[in-house]
Amino acid sequence: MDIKEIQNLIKFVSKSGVNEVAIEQGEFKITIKSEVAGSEQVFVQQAPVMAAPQVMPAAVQAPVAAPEAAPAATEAAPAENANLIEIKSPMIGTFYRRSSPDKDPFVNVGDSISPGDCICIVEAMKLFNEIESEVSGKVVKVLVDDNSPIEYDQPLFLVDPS
Amino acid sequence: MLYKRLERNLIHLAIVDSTNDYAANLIKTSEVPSGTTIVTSNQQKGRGQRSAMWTTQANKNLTFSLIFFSNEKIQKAFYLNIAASLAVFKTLSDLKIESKIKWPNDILVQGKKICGILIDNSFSGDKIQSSIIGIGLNVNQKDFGDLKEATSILNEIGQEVEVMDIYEQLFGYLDFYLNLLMESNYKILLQRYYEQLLGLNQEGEFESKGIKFRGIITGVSEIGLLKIQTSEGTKEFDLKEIRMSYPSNFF
Repeated sequence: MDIKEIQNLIKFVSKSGVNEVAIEQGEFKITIKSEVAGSEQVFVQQAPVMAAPQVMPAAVQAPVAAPEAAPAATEAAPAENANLIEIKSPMIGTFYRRSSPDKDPFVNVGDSISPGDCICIVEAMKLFNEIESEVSGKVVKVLVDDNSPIEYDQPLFLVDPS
Repeated sequence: MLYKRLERNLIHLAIVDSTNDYAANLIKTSEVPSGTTIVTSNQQKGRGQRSAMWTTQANKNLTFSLIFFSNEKIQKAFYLNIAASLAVFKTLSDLKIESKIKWPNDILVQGKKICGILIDNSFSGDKIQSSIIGIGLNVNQKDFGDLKEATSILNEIGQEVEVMDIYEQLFGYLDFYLNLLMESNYKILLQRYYEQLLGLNQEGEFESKGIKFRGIITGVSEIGLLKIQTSEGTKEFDLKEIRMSYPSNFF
């Protein structure tokens, strides 16, 4: 198999959509693999007596990289956090998203909040502190699990003020 | 809860002369991690600034000494006082108690003392080898006898609280502020200390070496001396050299 034939073979394989083709002719072996990510890889094993054809990884046009996996449907964070406001914990304590276990959370992703709105409760030294928002905007992400310990200044919510 | 600088290693003693002395002995005789705390419900001979006695009713108050290895430069020793003062201030603030820090590190509520701090450092070369941060915080003590200028958490918020709940919170803030110190955030620490410093930029009456004078506290020096602007210029005072009588409008 000469170099022209190998090039044609690679083109054929890449168009065919198959992931892997292995051909064996006497002492000549060639395996053409198409990775999931898109780039073609050619593995050639050549019998030592024969002049080895050069491996040409760039011989085929790699298909355009598949679009990035879609973000998870829930609590999707935008790619850029630059314009978002972090609401931070004013104290060490335990973070609660609801006033009691059978109640709805004070805020959910997508909710609009205004200054003065209660957004969570932080329990410290058995005192329950209602934490009010100081900003207005839309809740983009809740950064802490309900009923978990939090540190001083730890970001709790991401809010889009626009 | 994850701590940045301190390990939880709590030694609870039913009765002890002084938790700071016990901690000093512990450092000499064994290897303990930074954060090791000696806490007692009954301290017999607590020491305060200038060797003043610090008495506490059994089982009512939080009395402990925390061992901390900072390897900080000697010149920065005062920042340990700042970190400890801010930790107490913040803990009280979480309980909705408004306090002020009286230089160097007493915590007052409306002019009444609620907490005293005594830090013993041992040095090696130009570094602080170990620090023992002793804190006495009045928690559930109601009656202070002749001590008119004392108060407690109970007296301020009108309800008893669990002494060890207070300890947990305070330990968390000690970790927070000592971490700021270890990250060399001196400016932030000093700024926050100034925000709570009693009498800053206010005129007060002072006494040094038997001489009374008026002046304005302008801050503390890098090594923790109190800076007072007087008619003869700004002077720096050591704790032993200065007495302050704060006017009531300070509180």
